[in-house]
Amino acid sequence: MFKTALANLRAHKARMLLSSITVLLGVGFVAGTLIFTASIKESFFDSFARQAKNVDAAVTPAGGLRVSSIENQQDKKTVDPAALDAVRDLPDVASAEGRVLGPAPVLDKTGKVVKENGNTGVGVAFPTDAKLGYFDFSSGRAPAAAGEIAMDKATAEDRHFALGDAVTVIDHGDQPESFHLVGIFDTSTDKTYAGETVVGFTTPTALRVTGSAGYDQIAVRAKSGVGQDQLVTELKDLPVLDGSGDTFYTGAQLTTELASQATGYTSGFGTFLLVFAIIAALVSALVIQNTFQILVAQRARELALLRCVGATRRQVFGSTLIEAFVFGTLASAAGFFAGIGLSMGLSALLNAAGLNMPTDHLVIDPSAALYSIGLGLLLTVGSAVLPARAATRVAPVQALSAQLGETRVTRRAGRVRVGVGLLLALAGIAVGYAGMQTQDRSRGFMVLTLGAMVTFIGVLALGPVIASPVIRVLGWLPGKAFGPTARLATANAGRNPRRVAATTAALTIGITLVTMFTVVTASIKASATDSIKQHFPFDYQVVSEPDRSVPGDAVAKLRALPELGTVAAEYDGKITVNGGSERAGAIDAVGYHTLINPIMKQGSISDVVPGTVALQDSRLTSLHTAIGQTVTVTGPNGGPALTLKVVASYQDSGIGMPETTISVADFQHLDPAQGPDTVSVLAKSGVTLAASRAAIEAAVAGDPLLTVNSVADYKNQLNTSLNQILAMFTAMLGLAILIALIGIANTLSLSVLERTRESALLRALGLTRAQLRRMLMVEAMLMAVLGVSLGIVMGGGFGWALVHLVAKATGVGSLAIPYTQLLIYVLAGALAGVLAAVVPARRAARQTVATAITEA
Amino acid sequence: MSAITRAFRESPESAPGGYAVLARDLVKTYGSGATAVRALDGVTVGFGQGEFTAIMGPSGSGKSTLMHCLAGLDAATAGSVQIGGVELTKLNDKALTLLRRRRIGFIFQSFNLLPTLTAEQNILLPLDLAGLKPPKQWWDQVIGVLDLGGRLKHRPGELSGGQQQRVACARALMSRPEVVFADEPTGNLDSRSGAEVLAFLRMSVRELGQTVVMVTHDTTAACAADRVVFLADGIMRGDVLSPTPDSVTAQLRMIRPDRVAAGE
Ligand SMILES: Nc1ncnc2c1ncn2[C@@H]1O[C@H](COP(=O)(O)OP(=O)(O)O)[C@@H](O)[C@H]1O
Ligand SMILES: [Mg+2]
Repeated sequence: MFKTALANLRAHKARMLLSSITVLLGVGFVAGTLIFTASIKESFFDSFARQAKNVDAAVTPAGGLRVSSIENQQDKKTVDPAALDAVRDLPDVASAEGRVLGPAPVLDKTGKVVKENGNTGVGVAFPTDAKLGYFDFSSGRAPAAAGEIAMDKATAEDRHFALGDAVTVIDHGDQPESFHLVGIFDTSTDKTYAGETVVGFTTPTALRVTGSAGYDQIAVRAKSGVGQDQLVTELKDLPVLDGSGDTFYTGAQLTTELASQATGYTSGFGTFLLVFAIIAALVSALVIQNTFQILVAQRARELALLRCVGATRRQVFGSTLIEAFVFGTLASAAGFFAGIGLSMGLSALLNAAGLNMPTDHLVIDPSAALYSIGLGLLLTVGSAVLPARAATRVAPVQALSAQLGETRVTRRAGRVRVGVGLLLALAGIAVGYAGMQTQDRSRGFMVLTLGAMVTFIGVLALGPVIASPVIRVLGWLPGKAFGPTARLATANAGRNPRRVAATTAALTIGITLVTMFTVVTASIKASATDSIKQHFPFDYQVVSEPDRSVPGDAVAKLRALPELGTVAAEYDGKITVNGGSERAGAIDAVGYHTLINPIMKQGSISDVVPGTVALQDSRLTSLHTAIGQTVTVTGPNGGPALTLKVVASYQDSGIGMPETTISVADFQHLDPAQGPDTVSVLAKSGVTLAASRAAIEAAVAGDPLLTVNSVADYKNQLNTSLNQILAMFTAMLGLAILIALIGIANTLSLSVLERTRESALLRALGLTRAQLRRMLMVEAMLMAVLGVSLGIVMGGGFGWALVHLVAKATGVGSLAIPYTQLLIYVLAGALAGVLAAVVPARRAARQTVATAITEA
Repeated sequence: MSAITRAFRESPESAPGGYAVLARDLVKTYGSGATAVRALDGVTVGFGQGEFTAIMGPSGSGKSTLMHCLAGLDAATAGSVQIGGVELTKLNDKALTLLRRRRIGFIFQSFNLLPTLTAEQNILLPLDLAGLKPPKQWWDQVIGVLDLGGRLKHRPGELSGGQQQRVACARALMSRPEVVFADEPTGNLDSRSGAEVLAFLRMSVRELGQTVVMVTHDTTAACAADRVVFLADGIMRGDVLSPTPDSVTAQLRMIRPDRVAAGE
C-alpha cells in the first residue's frame, strides 16, 4: 500500500502543491514565531548580561533588581549614596560603581526637547572603571569631568551632534545646563535602551541632573583571589548597608536574575505571537482537511477499484494516511525553512509597528524544528483521518457505477449537523449574553470569550446550511451585472454547500478576528474623546515632560492671558488613606464642573474643599467608610496627617478619575514639593481656537519642556497608536487570511478538474473563454464574500459584545461600526477571491473543447 | 449503387437546396512525428439544408473528429469548413464560440446537461448566453412535441436517460440553429427512448426544415436519416441515400468487412 500511496502523491503533484503551500505557511508561522522569540530572548539576555559583565557582587534597593526603566521614577527606592564610598574602602574591592538611571531631557540644536517614541531622554552614570561599563564607544570617551557628556549614536546622528559640541540638558530643577560632548556610544547592542535617547555623565553629575536620591545599583569588582560569596558577606556586614533592606547578589546570581528578567521581558510577547501562529496553523489544518476530503471524493472510483481487486478497508485507510504522512513531512520541513525567513519578516514588521524587538542574530534551536514540524505532521495526518475513513466507506461496486467527480449535486446537510450547530450557536449566544451581564469585567470577559467560541463553532457547523441561501443572495448582484455567466457561477458555488462551507470557514476565522479588532478599535476611537469631552471638557492642556511639574511662573502667565476664560492647575500624586496607598488628584476650584465632570454617585465634586475628600465609589467599601465619615490621610513622605471628611463619591475608573480627589490646599499641605502636572484651560468665549492656542504657545515658549495639547491632539495620538495596533493585528492575521485564500484557490482548482467535461460542454454550447474565466472568478468571489460576510457578522457581534461589556463596567464606550472599513474588507475579499481564481480559471480555459468533451 | 459515389461525383456547390455545412479537403492530425495520427485524411463532404444525414464508420474511423471539426469544436489541420457560408477555419476562438452559440445545436452521447441547472435552464442556456429569449410559440411547440412540460423544473439527476436526451434535443432546437450535430445521441439509451429521440430528429427535419448531422454506429438509427455517409481511416467511403438496413450493412461490409461482422 505504501507504493500506492506514493504513486498517488506523485500523480496528484499539481493538486497537492497548493495544499502544501498552506501547510508550509502554517508551519512556517509557528517556526518563525519560535525562532523569533528565541532570538529576541537571546538578544535581550545578551544585552542584560552586559550589566553583569565583570561584576562580582551587586547591591540593589529593597525589592531586588529591576531592569532599569524610566517609569516609576517618582517613588523609586535607591541605595544610599554614602554606601558607595564605604564599599570602595573595603580591602577586597578592586572597584565599585554606582549605577544611575533617570530622566534627562536633551534639547536639540533648535532648542526643542528630543523625543523618541514619545519619550524624552534618559541619563545614566558612566563608571570610572571601564571594566564595569556596558556601553561600547563608537567615538570619543566616557565623561570624566562634571561638565562632560556622552550621547547615544542614533540621537547624535539624527540631531547632528558631533564631538566637541555643546549639549543642553534640562536638569531636575528644570534648569538648562550645557555640557561638552566628549563621547558617542552605541546603544543598539543594548536592547533596554533601543530607540531611546540616552546621555551619560560622571556619576555625581548623573545623580544631580536626574535628581536621583541614590543609586539603582552598586556594582562591585573584587580583587583577584576574592570569592563572590565572601565579597557579598563583607558587603552585608558594612554598617551603612546593614539593615538597609537592600538586596545583595553575587555576580553569578546577578547573571541568573538578569536571564530570568530577559525571559520575562520577552515570553509574554512570544505567547502573543504564538496565538496568531496557532490560528494560522488551525486555518491551514482546515484547508488541508478540505483538500483531502475532495481528493478522496474524486478518487472514489479509483479507491473502489482497489477494493475490487482485493484491498482491505484497513489497507485503503492506511494508504490514505501514509499519503498524508509523506505529504505532511515534506511540507512541514519546507515550512520550517520558510519559518526562518518569516522570523526576519516578523522582526521587520514589529519594528515598523513601533515595537522595538531587535534581534542580533537568529537563534535556531532544534526544539523549534521539532515543535513546528511535529505540529505540521500532526495537522496533516490529523486532517486526513476523517477523509481516510470516508475512503474506507467506498463500496467496491462504486468502481462500476460511480458518477465522476462533482457531477452530482450533493445532498443537503444532515439533520444532526443542523441540530448540533443550532444548539451550539444558541448556547454560545446565551453564554456570551450572560458574560455581558456579569459585573466583574475580567470574569465577564472570560465568559464572553467562551460564549463567542462556542457560537463560532456552532456557526461553522451550520456553514453548509447557511452557504446555499447566502450564496444565492450574494449572487443576485453579479447575476444582474454579468447575466448568465454569473448565474452559472452562483449555481456552481451553491452546488456543494459542504465543500463551500469548509473552504470558506478558514477565511471566516481570520475575518471574524480582524472585524472584531476593527470594531473595538473604532469604538475606542469614537468614545475615548467622547469621554474627555464629557468629563474633562478642556480646550487645551499644558503638560510638562517628563513627569515634571509645570513651573509656577508658567501657571501665572497662563492665568494672566486675556484670551483664556478658565485656567486650572491640576495635581496628581500618591497619598496614604487610612494606611493604604492611593492615587490622589486635586484641581483648582474654578475647574469644578467647568473642567472636570465626573459621574457622581453621591454628593457633588464642588463639595471638595479643604478638609473634605471625594472617593471612587468602590473605595467607600474597601476603606470601610461612608459619606459623612472621616478618613486619615498622610503625604507620600509621611509628615503630618490630615483628617478629611468624605463628602462625595464618583464612578470607578474608565474615565481617568483618581481614587481620591482632595482640595489643592490639602494636596499642597500633604506634598509640598509636588507642583501641578497639568494646567487645563478653557478659552474665553468669542476667542477663536487659533488665537487662544497661539497665545498659550507664546506664553510657554520659553520652557522647552512644556507642551500644549488639545483634545484633537490627544485624539490624533490615540488614533495613531490604535491604528498601529490594528495594523499589526491585521498583519498577523494576514497570514491566516492568505492561507484561507489559497484554500479557496485550491478548492476551485480541484473543482475545475472535476468539471472538465462540464466546462467543455459549456464551451460547446457557446460560453466564450472569457466567460468561462469570468464564471470561475465569480464563483471564487462568491465563496470569498461568503467567508468574509460571515466573518464580519460574527466579528461585529463579538466586537459589539466586548464594547458593551467595557461600557457597562466603565460607563463609557459606545459601539461604533466602521462601515467603510468593513465594506472595504468585503470588496477586498471579493477581489482576493477573483485573484484566487486566476490560475484555476486559466487552466480551465486552456482546455480544448473537443478533447475534454469526449473524455470518459 | 448509384448514390455510392455521389459525394465524389457531384461538385458540392451544386447541391439543389444549398449546403448548410460544407467541408473540403479536411485534414486533422493528432500529435506529431512518429506518433502522429491522421484522424481525417482529406475529407470533402456537404450536408444539404433540411437534410438528415448520418455518419457511419468503424470505431476510430474519425467520425467524432469530423463532427468536432465541422462544428468548430476543434481546429482542422488543413482544409476548409463552411457553415451557412461562413468559413470556420478563419474564425478565432471567440467568433467560433459565438457561432456555435447561435447557429449550431449539439446533442452528445452522454453528459449533455449541466447538473446544476434545471431542465428549463439547460434548454435556454445557449439563448441565455446570447441574451435572447425564444418566441413563446416556438417554445411551446418544442416542449410540447418532446413532452417535457412536466419536467422543466427538474434537475438532470432527477430525469431518466431518455428524458435527459429529450431535454438535450429541445436545447439543440431551441435556437433554430443552422445545423444540429448529434454524436451518437442514442448510444446510451434503451431502444424505446432511442426511437423517440430519432423520431424527434426526423420530425424536426421533415416538419421544421431543420438540418441534422448525426454520428452513429447503429444501423437502425442510421436508417432514420435521409442519407448515410461512410468514413473509414479518416477517408470518405461513399454514401447511401434513403438508407435501408440492407444497403447500409452492405456498404459497411464493403469498407471494413472484418469489423462489421464483429458488430462494431
Ligand atoms: N485527442 C486525441 N489525441 C490523439 N489522437 C486522437 C485524439 N482524438 C482522437 N484521436 C485518434 O483519432 C482517430 C479518430 O478518432 P475518433 O474521431 O474519435 O473516431 P470515432 O469517433 O470514429 O470512433 C483515432 O485513431 C483516435 O485514436
Ligand atoms: Mg466517437
